[in-house]
Amino acid sequence: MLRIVVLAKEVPDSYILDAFAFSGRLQLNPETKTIQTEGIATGMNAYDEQAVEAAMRLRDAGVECTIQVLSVGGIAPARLFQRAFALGADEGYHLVDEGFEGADSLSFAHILASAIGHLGGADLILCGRQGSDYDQGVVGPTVAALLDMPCISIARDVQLTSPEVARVIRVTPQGEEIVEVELPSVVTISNELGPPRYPTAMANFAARRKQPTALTASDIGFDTNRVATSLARVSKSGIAIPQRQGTCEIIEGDNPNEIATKLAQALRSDGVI
Amino acid sequence: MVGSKLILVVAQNDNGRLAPVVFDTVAAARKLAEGTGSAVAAVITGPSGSQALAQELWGVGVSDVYVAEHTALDEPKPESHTLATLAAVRQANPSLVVVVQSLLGRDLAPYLAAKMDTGILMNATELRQNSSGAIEAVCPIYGGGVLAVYELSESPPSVVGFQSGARNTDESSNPVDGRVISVDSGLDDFRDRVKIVERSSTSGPLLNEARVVVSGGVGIGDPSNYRYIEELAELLGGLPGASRAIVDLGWATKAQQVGLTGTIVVPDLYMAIGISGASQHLFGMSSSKVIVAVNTDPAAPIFSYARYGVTMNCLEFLPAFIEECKKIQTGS
Repeated sequence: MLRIVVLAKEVPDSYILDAFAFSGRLQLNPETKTIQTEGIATGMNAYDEQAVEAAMRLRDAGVECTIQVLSVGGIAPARLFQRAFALGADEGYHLVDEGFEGADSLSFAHILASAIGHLGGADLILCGRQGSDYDQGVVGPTVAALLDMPCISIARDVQLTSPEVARVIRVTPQGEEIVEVELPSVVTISNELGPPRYPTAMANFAARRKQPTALTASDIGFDTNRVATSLARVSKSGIAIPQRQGTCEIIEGDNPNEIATKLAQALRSDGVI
Repeated sequence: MVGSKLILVVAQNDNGRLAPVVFDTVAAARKLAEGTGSAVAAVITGPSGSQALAQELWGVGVSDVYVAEHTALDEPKPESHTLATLAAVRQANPSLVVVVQSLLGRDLAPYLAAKMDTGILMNATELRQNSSGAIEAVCPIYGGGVLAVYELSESPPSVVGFQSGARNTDESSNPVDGRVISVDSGLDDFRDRVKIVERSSTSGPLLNEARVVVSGGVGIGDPSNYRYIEELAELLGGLPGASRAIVDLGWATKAQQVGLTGTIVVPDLYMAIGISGASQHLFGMSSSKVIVAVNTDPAAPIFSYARYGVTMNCLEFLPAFIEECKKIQTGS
């Protein structure tokens, strides 16, 4: 039985957030140095949903497996886990403790690694390539380093060639790369995997009757002093909406040829063509 | 220089060369070092022969180049390169580690931070000193819709991934007589658990090195129209790019995707054709020198970033502009 653990993060809905940013309605809170999230729903990071989907595709391919979803903290964790269950996760673990508050990236990885250890380890750890909120992409590699596993990033396909080896197709800017990695391993999933399955009404209904198991720091054997001592390492000191040039010159003309000529002249005088 | 702080730039031998992003990162590190009275050193990990690359760094004013060479570093794999880099970090004892955020660097930086048990920040586009003397990094969050500033502790040294795209041209760098400091990578007993079975080797220039990038978005209407994008890019001596939307639709390839989850580009000329400017796209091109936006919607965010805008349907405009560029080429 292959033990698959999916690491999931609750994030603001990236479509709503993009729409806010598009229309210049995104508000910042300078006190907390965060965005104002009123009117922006939260849910499972889309890349992490695809990680659950990657696990389900292994199951569809005949791999006997358990799929456990882990998530730390959050505002509305029930929604995240419901989504995870609807997509096919067997078990959910909500890691929640006052001592986790303000954890930096590495403390976060320690919390996840402790929880995985507490649950009896994993053969394959899947997570999204990055959170759609902070875009850091550090969870996969840091958890791998702490558990002494290899980490294969930006995968669009994960298969097992044997119970001990996964074959992963990565999508790199230079093209595709196929790697074989010994398990246990961490694999991070990119959007090229494709959208997750659409849960059936039955799956949604069943998901509503499932609950995640809550685990505290002491449950998983995590020393919360680690969070306290690492607080000052990388700390947010400011937040801003990026300045735009706002100096766009619209090239006007009566017909395409006239506009093309004017634009070409402008680009030549700028020395870029 | 006893007591002086050291900024260590982490790079790799990338197919027998140092990628252009390495020099952008060195420039950013040097700028920070000037303000803080620090020195800048670099580490290169790679197969044997990598130390020949050190002179390129001497050429931009970096005198101490730590080099770890080992057969386990022949391929761009995060684990072995991290361990070798870790050995160099221990030897150099820096106050800040700046990782060139290449494809490998993206995985290496967090792996390294976990091994060093220190703070980690990725996607930094600017490094600076704040009024109280602390080191700060600016990095885009929420797909580039927001900029966050982070203060980085120097003890233990933080690891920061530097995202080229900030365009750090450094004219002040003078060549120095440098030295190579050999690093024992400690990889003799390394057991590699990853096998690269197949790797597409793109020949020719990469998107992030192109002087001109012409990108198409859904506004081009139909996949067959992407040929205009390719034709124009070729005419201008550049490469064709694409928005994530049309890559997802299969109109263009992943290698052509410009943006947060694609390639970050900083060309002299960036033409966004039929692209509205989702923040994830803007993230990948907003540092281009001259940006031209062609989009029928004058309210599209891309125009806030553009130097020149055309609000005509791109399918009417493109053929005319291609003709115009042909005329320029033939000198008529």
